[in-house]
Amino acid sequence: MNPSKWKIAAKWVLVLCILFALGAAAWYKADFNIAKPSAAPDDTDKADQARTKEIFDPAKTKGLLAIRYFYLPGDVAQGDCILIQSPDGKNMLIDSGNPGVGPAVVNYLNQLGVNEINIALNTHPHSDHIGGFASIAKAKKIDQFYMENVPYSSNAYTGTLAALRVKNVPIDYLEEGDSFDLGDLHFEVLSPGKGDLAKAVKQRKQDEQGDSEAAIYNYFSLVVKMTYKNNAFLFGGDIYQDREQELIQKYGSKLDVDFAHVDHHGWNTSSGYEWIKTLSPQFAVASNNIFSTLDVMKRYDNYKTKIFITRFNGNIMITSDGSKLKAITEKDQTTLPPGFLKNQ
Amino acid sequence: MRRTLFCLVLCLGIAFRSAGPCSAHPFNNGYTYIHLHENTADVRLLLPFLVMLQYDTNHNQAISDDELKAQQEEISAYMESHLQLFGNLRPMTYSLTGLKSIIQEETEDPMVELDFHFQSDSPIDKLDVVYDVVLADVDPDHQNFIQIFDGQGKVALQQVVDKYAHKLEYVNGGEVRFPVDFLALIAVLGVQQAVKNSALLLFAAWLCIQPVRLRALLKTALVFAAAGLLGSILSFRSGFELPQPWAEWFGIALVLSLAAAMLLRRNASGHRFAAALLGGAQGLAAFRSVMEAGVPGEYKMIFLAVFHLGMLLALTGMVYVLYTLAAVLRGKVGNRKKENGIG
Repeated sequence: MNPSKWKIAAKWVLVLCILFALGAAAWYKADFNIAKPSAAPDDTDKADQARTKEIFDPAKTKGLLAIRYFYLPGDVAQGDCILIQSPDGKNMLIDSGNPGVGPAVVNYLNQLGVNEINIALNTHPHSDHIGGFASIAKAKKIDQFYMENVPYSSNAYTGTLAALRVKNVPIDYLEEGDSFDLGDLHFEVLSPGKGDLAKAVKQRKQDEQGDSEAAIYNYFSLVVKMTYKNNAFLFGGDIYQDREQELIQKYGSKLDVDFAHVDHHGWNTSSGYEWIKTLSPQFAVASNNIFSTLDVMKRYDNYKTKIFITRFNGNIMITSDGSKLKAITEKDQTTLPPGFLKNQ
Repeated sequence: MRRTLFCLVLCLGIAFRSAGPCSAHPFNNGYTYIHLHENTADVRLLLPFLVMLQYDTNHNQAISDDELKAQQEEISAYMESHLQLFGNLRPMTYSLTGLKSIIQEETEDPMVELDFHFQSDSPIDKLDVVYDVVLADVDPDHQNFIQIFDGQGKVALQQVVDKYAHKLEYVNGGEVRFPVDFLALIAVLGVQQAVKNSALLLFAAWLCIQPVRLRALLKTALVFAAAGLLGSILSFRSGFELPQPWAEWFGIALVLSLAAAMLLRRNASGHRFAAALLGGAQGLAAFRSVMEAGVPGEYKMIFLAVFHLGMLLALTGMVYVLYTLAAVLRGKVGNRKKENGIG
């Protein structure tokens, strides 16, 4: 073969190699699943510390409504704990996390100088919502305890009720149609429906044990709408998408709020598209110290809601002057790829 | 009165109910605690009943120790292939040392507790964990919180693994090294995006019918890649993103208008300007896909450059192949013209 033929042959071999390489690259299924590891917790820089100070400075929220989502520390999912302070200085606690985080909540309350809880509200009796009240009841004065009228068998539940009994805290049961006030704030209970809890209890007896009974308790979580002047806020406990859908049918535009609690710790069980669309909140907060469901975060983001999660943002505070909301988070979310959430 | 009676009956019912597992809430997340020693790793995996119901043979929504014992071999085989530890990049030997049903103390959730012992041939400097338990076959929404404890029992690393990220890398006593293997993957992603981009393929074909030398075309490809990188940087800085389909349609429209202009004016100029426009549009669209691949934020510029290098390689390859084919076609057409006495 003369040199020019070699050259032509080499050229065609190169063409074939390129075609093969491009084809292989196109068909190759790349595995991008490399987790970005995080160092052990407690790395807070100076900016974070400054915002922590702001969140826990009662003087900064004087005359404002302040809602604080506490970051509940620990190496298990610790549940919800939300402190609401009315503009006239009254305090309400919605849920309290697992029993183990009770002392941490007491510590947060101490930092804020809160010694009296005017209203404590438990959305449903699961451990990660009721457990911390035992420690809180021992350390702080609770004037009134609201919950569902349904007994439950867990150490967290019985421990809390025992602590409330020792302190003679009056307990009242709530359901749809009930309402109450905390200073300038008005609360209305939207769920569970009147008499529906009895059905839940019956269902529980039928199921005996296992997962389904827990789902029923979540379904019947207390859903409370709070109003302060022109702003509305919704706290839905652990309800799932089926219950969300029923509430949309029942209440429609009444569910249009400025702030929403992200139901069931931000899990995929909840926060359906229509729910988010109906609520159309400016801000939403999920209380989950370990896990996060990116699909759910994305759903809120798609509806231009700023979503925060305690796992990423630490302690979170929302304030309102009755017309405008403001959010302060202890930390910035830095774990997700930049641009993953467009409206943050 | 009826309500009081109802509550009384209910309380009695609960009081006399057999002690079974109580569930705080239906959840599908688990926990893994890895205690790292010199040559070994002891792993405790906690999985909720909800993702283990395939082992609930009596279908009572709960998993007993007897059920676990009866299926221990099956569970062990499953776990061996779905929870893998690598010491210094080599697979560690696996053994299941414990399997039982528990109530997690803090949350009062019923869970299956699995204990494993992993052994490495040499002291473990680097540990890789590949977690694929139940993700692909039972519950894609499952998440697991993995904590790695060092020899002193201190948390050295923690990470949630899920369908998006199921690998964890830990370097004993030091920083995690620069992810070189990931860099190669990003370059492949660049090649893939170029090869699967119909606008780019059209553009490469259009370039190859230009009456210019191959070297000039390769320079045009370089302009395309540089503009792409600038587009991505612009996207990162401004937050503006061009949806990928729009970028592709823009590219197709651009190539079609260039082709039309060439037919009308028989003028081959402007291919570098066109390459810059096309590259810029692709860069604006590509930034998001690069970042969504899980690129570490601190290295994003390097990864973006490598991604566009991948696109450059692909475009260069496409141009070379098409140019060679076009040259053959041109030769044949030329020969035919000669045979027919034309030109």
